[in-house]
Amino acid sequence: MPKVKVKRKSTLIDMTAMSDVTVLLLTFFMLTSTFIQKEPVQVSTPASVSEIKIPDVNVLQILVEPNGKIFLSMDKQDDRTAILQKVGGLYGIEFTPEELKKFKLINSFGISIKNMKQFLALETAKQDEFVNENLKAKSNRVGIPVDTTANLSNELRSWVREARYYKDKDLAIAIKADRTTPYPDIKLVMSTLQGINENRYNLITSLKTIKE
Amino acid sequence: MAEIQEKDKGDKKKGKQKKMHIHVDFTPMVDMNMLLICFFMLATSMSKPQTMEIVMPAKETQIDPASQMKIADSRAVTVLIDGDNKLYYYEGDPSKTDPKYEDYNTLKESSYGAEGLRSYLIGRNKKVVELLREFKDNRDSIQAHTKNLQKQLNELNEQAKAIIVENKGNIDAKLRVKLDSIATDSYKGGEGSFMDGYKKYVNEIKKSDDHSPIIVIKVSDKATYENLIDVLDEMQICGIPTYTVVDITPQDFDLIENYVTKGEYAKSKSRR
Repeated sequence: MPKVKVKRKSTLIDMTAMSDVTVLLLTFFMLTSTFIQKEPVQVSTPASVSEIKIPDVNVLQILVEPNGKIFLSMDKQDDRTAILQKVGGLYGIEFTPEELKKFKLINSFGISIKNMKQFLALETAKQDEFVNENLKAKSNRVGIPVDTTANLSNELRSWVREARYYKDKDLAIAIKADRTTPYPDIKLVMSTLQGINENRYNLITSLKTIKE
Repeated sequence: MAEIQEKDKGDKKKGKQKKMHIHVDFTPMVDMNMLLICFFMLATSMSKPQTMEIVMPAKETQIDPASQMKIADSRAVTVLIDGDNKLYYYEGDPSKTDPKYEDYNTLKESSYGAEGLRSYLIGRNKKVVELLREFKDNRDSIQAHTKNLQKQLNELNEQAKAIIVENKGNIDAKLRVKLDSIATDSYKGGEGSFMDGYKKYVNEIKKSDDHSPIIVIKVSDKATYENLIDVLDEMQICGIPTYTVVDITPQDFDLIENYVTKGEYAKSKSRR
């Protein structure tokens, strides 16, 4: 009997095509996406049919979390520090270059200007911990103080005003609030903005379609 | 595919051909790419958030009462947002027609969603809503029309440029620069200007009807942010040109209380 020779097949799979596809996908993702900004709290925004997109740059975002604590974020780091210095000046607080450098790295801040120095002295991981713990305890140590007055005690007012002075017409103001936020908290923010003649601003929403 | 076969020219030894395989293994490359894709998918967001533009009235202290706009009662609709997702509305000014709130039905209960407030407002604002719908249905043809115009304009510009170039000798340099800048200016616009025009047109349509309702939104402290956004959203869907957000007044709470107790509240109040 003749021996049956089993043909040996190579198990190599050609990965070139696969590699082509993945590179294409990668390019697509790199070009179309923007990085998610780190936010101290996750808020779920209410839905609306409005299709206006928020501007890319120079947005002062006022984040209102479900319990009404307010965080601010500015997109450009240099603007952020410049405005911190201005606001610090209003309250008679000077910031050292190191503190400014640290402040540059904080995307979204919600802390009274009086406690800012202490807060900046913490390490980044400790800062997050501090914010999270206080948010959980609903303590007043986080969140930018806001009230109905036009005094210095209304720190949100000072921040927005300084930001407006600094950026002039370029600045867009956006309010991002959780859907469960009680109206009085929103009202405080809105009336503060109204008090400094900021009557045109954006409310950040997610998209929904109308059923007809 | 990743192999390259190299054939030696058979000039060394006849009959014996040496085959050389160069095989590049792409598996690690794919692995790395997949990791990168995973990273990008998790760390980035694809869509920009939507926003809703809102224009609030200036602070009341700055307006003197004489210049304040008087709203005809027939146009005024007040929407009350209460806690527990409750929504009410009334027309006109009930304190004039029914100062003691004897008729508890002046206040009507409504709801969020298509069959509640929206159907009522669309009914009130029919003319505008129909115009808007018509305009939106024809949006594509209008856009095509503007594009066509743009194209014709561009062609004309080309012709004008060609004429300028032909008459180079006759036209001095200064004038040519001027003409060129005019030509390029009219090139611009295109898609963006269409959207701007579209928005303006929608605004004009909204303002066109003298009888469309003017809405006063009164928000109670028990309401949530979502309630407010939902109502503002209805304003957009129903093409309401003028609306404002104000605080709720004690009278409005009386109205709600009266409605809930079916008139008992007003009776007990008047007895006191």
